[in-house]
Amino acid sequence: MDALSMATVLTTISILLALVLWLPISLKARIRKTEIYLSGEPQSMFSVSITEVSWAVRRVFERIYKVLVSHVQTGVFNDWFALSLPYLLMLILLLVIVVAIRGGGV
Amino acid sequence: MELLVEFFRLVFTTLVYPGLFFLAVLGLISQWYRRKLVARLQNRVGPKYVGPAGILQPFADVYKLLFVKELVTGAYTPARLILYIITLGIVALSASSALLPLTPLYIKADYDALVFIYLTLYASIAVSLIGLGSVSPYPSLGGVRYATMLLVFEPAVAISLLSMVKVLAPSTLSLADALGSPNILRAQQPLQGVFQLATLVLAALSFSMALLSKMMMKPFDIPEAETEIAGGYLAELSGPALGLSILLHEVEISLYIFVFSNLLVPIPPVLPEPLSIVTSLLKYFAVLTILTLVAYSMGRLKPDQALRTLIKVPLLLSIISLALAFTI
Repeated sequence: MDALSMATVLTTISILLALVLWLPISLKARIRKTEIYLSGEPQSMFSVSITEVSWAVRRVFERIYKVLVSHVQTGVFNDWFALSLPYLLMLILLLVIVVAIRGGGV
Repeated sequence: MELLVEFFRLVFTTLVYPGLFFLAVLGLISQWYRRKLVARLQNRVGPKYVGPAGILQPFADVYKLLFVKELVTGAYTPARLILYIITLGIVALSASSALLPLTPLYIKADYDALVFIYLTLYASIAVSLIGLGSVSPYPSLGGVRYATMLLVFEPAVAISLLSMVKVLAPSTLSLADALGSPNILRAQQPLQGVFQLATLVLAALSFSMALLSKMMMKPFDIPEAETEIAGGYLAELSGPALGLSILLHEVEISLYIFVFSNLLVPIPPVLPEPLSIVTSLLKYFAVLTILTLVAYSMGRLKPDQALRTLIKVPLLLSIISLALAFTI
């Protein structure tokens, strides 16, 4: 037996025997779970809604949102146009490329 | 058929001798011995009531925790997963004892010292996961402290063990060959012998210091500092989880000291087996006494001091000893 196969065999035996020993202990164990201490308030008072799960996503997009708000929602049309110009130019460029490749006809 | 026989042979060595049963009994007797020794030093009585001179006290404690007490955990602690992690740690340590040449059933391969190091790593990872698996801050802090120290003491233990095995069994790097080696110095020239002895001394010093840290004995008992973080990684455990954790700790101590004492003092065996159990146990208790006396004569270090000490002394010594072992 070489060292690598020895390690593989002994690991497999460990995992299997641990499972065999763990099952009766785990099934027989009386497990009591204690609630988190919340300054005397019951835990049922606090709930997490599904929208709270998106907290991290919202946090990431918050910066983009803030940039958009500060640049677009100023009440001045030129601000909106200045921000949109590169995007519009890109669309026009894309259109020109498509026309150049496919030709003008439908 | 041959494969089945081989399988049952490994199961027997893992579960009975020199595996789980032997290591657990040895570990719990060692716990009683350590407690009695420290009690003598501190002018106390120590374990007294269960069995002659209280020798059965650790057995009674573990039995009661495993089979009588209930497991109380926090609402978000994965209790059953923690039980499995601890059991896996204990069984992996027991499986690694199949490499010890105590019975004719032992297995051997070239470079199997590396397999021993790999299997014993499960126990260290299990200890840090026990702490990190709890939502309470004290066990988490204990787990993090252990995991941080693990990054330093585990390489030190592994490197110094490899150095000792390299000196004692240079061609095979096999643990069984190193443990069964009756002659410590088989040097052809006197200078080579001096280098071999220096390597062994450096590796032994490094291994014993790293071992104190691995066993969470003073001055490196910061993962379970009772007065500071309320018992650390064990703080939130109870019932079977605590019983198994104690068993894991004792099995780890007994296995490591058993291997270390037999590598350190390769006395020729009295009986025809490669490793005589009587001489091995005598060496084991001698090393355990020295380590316990050293540990309990010191106070606890702070986490940063402990890390700095571990890097400066055992890790450095182990690297020097490995360099020497591969030079000679």
